[in-house]
Amino acid sequence: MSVRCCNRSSFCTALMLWLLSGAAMAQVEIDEGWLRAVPPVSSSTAGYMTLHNRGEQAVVLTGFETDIAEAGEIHTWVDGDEGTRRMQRLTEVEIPAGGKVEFRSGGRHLMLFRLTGELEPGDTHELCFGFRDVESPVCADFAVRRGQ
Amino acid sequence: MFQRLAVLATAVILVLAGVLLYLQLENNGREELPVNERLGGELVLTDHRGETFSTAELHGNVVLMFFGFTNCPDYCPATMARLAQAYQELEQAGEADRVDVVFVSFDPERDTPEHLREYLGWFHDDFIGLTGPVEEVEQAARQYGAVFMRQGADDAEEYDFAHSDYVYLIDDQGRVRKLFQANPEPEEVIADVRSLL
Repeated sequence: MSVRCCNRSSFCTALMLWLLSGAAMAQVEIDEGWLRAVPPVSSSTAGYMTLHNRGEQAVVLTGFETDIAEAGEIHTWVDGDEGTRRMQRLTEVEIPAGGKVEFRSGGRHLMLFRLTGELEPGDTHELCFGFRDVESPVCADFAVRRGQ
Repeated sequence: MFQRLAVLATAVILVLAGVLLYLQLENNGREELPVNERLGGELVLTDHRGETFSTAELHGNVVLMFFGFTNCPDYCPATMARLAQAYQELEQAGEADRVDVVFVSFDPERDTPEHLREYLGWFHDDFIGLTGPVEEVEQAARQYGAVFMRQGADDAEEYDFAHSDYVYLIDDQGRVRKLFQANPEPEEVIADVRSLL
């Protein structure tokens, strides 16, 4: 595939994007993904995972979606005033080439707002992650755990 | 010859005494937890049954107290899960009758007594929930050096809190003896609770 080819045809552009998507999907791995089981009266919960980038190019996580929550955001904890800690939304997280990024309690984590159903320990729910310049999401099953 | 034997015997006795002292310290395992004179005191708030509750009622028991809110998705449920694990282990050892876990919500708007009852019951039926008018909860937080700040517009449907996240270990006389960082290891909690039983 050449640049000249792609200048000539939008089909080639689409093909290139599709190939890039495939490359990103192949190079990103989600490990140990889990969702925190919370009391049924809770309307939100958090998710955790390790995101590996096996490729030779950095990838940038931009968000995620799941059927179990009306909204998903990436958050981290930052120090606030008077010894407090508060959550801060992240709009992107870069995973360096050959590197990994952990999402864990007390650090970067996935926020699931307005849960659409109860999270029963032992159930699994699919989360699909979007990456910059990658058309297809990368999806993985997250187990619900009564975690700490 | 006799003097040498006496010196040897003395040395053996000293070594044995040292070993015994070491073993005793090993068995106790921990130094006595200091009393925190600056924090603590009686709280009178509304409990998860909707009734007025004074923490003075808990004197005689060791208390683990945490300030949080039930819409908190990360630290609060993680900490409550750890306290539940510690409590269950104490329960299995027949020691939970002398221990109470108290969750003080600084979000009375959403954390009604009924909501607290359902939330805490999921962790353990024995857990006590407390809340009250904002001014009373603020006073309670001040007594314990806990800090919470509402984030987002006052009229926002969804809001959050920046907050401190200590778990307070309180002895059977109502004195604060230790502050655990959020998400304390259940083993550490159990060991410290037992040191006060």
